[in-house]
Amino acid sequence: MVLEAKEVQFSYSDGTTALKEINLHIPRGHFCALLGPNGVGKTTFFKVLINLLKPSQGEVRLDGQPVSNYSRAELYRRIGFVFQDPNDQLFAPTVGEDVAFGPTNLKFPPAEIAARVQTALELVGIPQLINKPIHYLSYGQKKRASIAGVLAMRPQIMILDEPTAGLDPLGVREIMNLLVRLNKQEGITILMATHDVDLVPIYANHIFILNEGKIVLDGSPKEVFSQKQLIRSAHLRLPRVAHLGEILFNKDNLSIDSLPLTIGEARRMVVSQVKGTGDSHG
Amino acid sequence: MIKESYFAVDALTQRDNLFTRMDARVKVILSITALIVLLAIPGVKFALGLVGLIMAALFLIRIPLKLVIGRIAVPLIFGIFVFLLLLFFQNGHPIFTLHVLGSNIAGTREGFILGTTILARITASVSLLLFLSVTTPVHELGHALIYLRFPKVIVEIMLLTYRYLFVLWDEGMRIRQAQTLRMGYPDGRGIRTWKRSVKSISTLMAMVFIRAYDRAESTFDAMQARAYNGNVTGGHYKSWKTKGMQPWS
Amino acid sequence: MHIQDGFLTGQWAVTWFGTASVFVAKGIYDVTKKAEKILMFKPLLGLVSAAVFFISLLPIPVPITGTSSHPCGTPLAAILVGPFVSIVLSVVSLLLQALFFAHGGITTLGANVMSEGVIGSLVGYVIFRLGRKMGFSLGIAAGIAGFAGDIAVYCTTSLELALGMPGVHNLTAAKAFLAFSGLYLPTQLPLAILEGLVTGAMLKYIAKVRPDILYNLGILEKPEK
Repeated sequence: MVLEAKEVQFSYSDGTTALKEINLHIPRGHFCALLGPNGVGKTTFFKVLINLLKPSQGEVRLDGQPVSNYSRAELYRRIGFVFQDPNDQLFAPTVGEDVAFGPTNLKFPPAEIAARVQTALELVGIPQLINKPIHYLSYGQKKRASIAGVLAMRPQIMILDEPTAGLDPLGVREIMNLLVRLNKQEGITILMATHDVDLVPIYANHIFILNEGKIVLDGSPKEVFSQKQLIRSAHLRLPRVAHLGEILFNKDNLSIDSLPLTIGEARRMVVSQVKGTGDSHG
Repeated sequence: MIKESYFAVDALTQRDNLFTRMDARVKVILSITALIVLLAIPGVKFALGLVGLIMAALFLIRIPLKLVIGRIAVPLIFGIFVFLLLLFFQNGHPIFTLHVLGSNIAGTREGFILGTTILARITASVSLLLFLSVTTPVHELGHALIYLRFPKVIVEIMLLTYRYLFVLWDEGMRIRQAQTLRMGYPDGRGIRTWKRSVKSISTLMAMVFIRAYDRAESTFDAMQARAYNGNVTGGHYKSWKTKGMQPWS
Repeated sequence: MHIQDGFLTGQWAVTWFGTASVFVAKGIYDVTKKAEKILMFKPLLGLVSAAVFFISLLPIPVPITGTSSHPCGTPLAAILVGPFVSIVLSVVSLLLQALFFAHGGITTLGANVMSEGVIGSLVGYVIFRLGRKMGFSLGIAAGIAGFAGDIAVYCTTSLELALGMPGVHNLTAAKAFLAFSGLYLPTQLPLAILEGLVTGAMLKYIAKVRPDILYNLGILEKPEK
């Protein structure tokens, strides 16, 4: 299952151009992050990717076929989309009924639907909430329920718009761990939008930076965050630890060959410096 | 205030007891039958018997007395007006006479009987509705209505209304608080403070409506991304709570 | 203002059910037809219905007395989504009110749909359209529609109660109607005025900040560019 965007352009009906020219290829099985400041068009781009909006130029292809060629059922059983605000997505009165919505539309037999609902709720860790009305859920639980609603369709690619927005630090960690598990154990390709640069290198292994309607950077965290100027011109910043590494390098003459992106990398770097081995770790 | 009583009823349906476990279809059919019998049978015996039964049931599942009294009081006040109207304007044997403003008005036996019948009916039907509402969550009721051949599209809209009322309520209250902080609802009873309050409240209404409209668009997008084909609720309903049965089966 | 279960005789309850169901059927037909063409129509109605229901729960301050009152919202719904679809929404709102507040009822649903849904919607809508035709501004036309719709609901309810007074021989329906109207008048007249004021002001505000919504709903003509 390969998803790619070819020279995608998008303008709103009032004439403002949101996406100028987007080329991107979502590698299969990867955990990808689309980084960009607020208002840069991440949500618009995602809606184009999943064929909710039609690009004014270019096209999006899934396994070589334009997404517009797929029927709704065919497309959305392959690509799942989780909206930023779970209240937009959870429209049914109870968790179970909401999660069942997708599989019901895919016309599975009742037993299969029931099994899928159960499995999806277990994957996100809220099987006990199956009969709960949505308005009794906490924000984090709503987030999980909305992910389960998409998982029940068993997509191979899952696209999430700001999945960590509005969550507390523990909630962020739980959701990210859940996504990693879905990626590693279930083999689901993940593409998530975020502007949280500290979070990205910990979980993602492929990063796209979106700025002014274009993908300005595309690669592994290491490659992407080595382009400090481009990162900053895209109204983003380096992860805090990388920034610390940069200061140590510039002001304190610490010898490092690449910036640390996670606490673990920073620790290894500092320990090796302190012990004086000079063997800085990349 | 309204929200509290609203949530109170909704929260009570989430308790686990004899009556919340009962199939919603059974409860709906029983309630409707009881209401029909109530209107068909003259006199107060059936009505009072029903009230007694429901009160016992409400007591059994520990429904707060305050809620029960609060619910019955409002229609009862109006009922008393009707009672008086019937008592004095119904033809029949006078049982007593009042001298009001120089004229005599008589209370009649027939009027008294009819009046008490209506009072008893009101009490019985309000108790019955209350019983239904504290034991049956709206979504179960919706599926029961679909099962009973109630127009499905109405139930679909009702379930969406039920779901999003809570969301809009939170948004509306946030706007209201923001308005209050900026003196949108000044104290006092003068005409100017009133004008300001009415202006604030219409703005609040407009803003909630705009939010609702925008949310309809994003909800529709989200439904499409799950292959929406025009059906908001899935197929037939069988109680979730019955083993092995699911609402879409 | 709803008629509580128990007030109407069985005969009248059935009569009102019959009358109202004709209009509700037309509403359901309209909704179903439109939902087939426009997939977004059902979620849109769900949200509009939730918004109107929320609005009808908001307390509006009554001047001088310091008390507050609730709008009925039906004329507003009729202006927003049309008179017959608005009847369907009124069924939804009456069902929810019966359930949540034990307000109204099941056997009186027909009568309440007739007064609040059918009469409120039709009067509100017709007055609004007439007002617009006569050249009134959006806010003024909606305001008059809100007021008239509310008064019409109140008169219909009084009439229903008067007709449904069981077994009153001496008391003519006309007298009973006057008695009920008189009973309601002090609370309903200020409420109707308030309903008109907020309906008008609300639509005026939407037209100012989000005219696109009113174009989409067909309430305002989109100006030529």
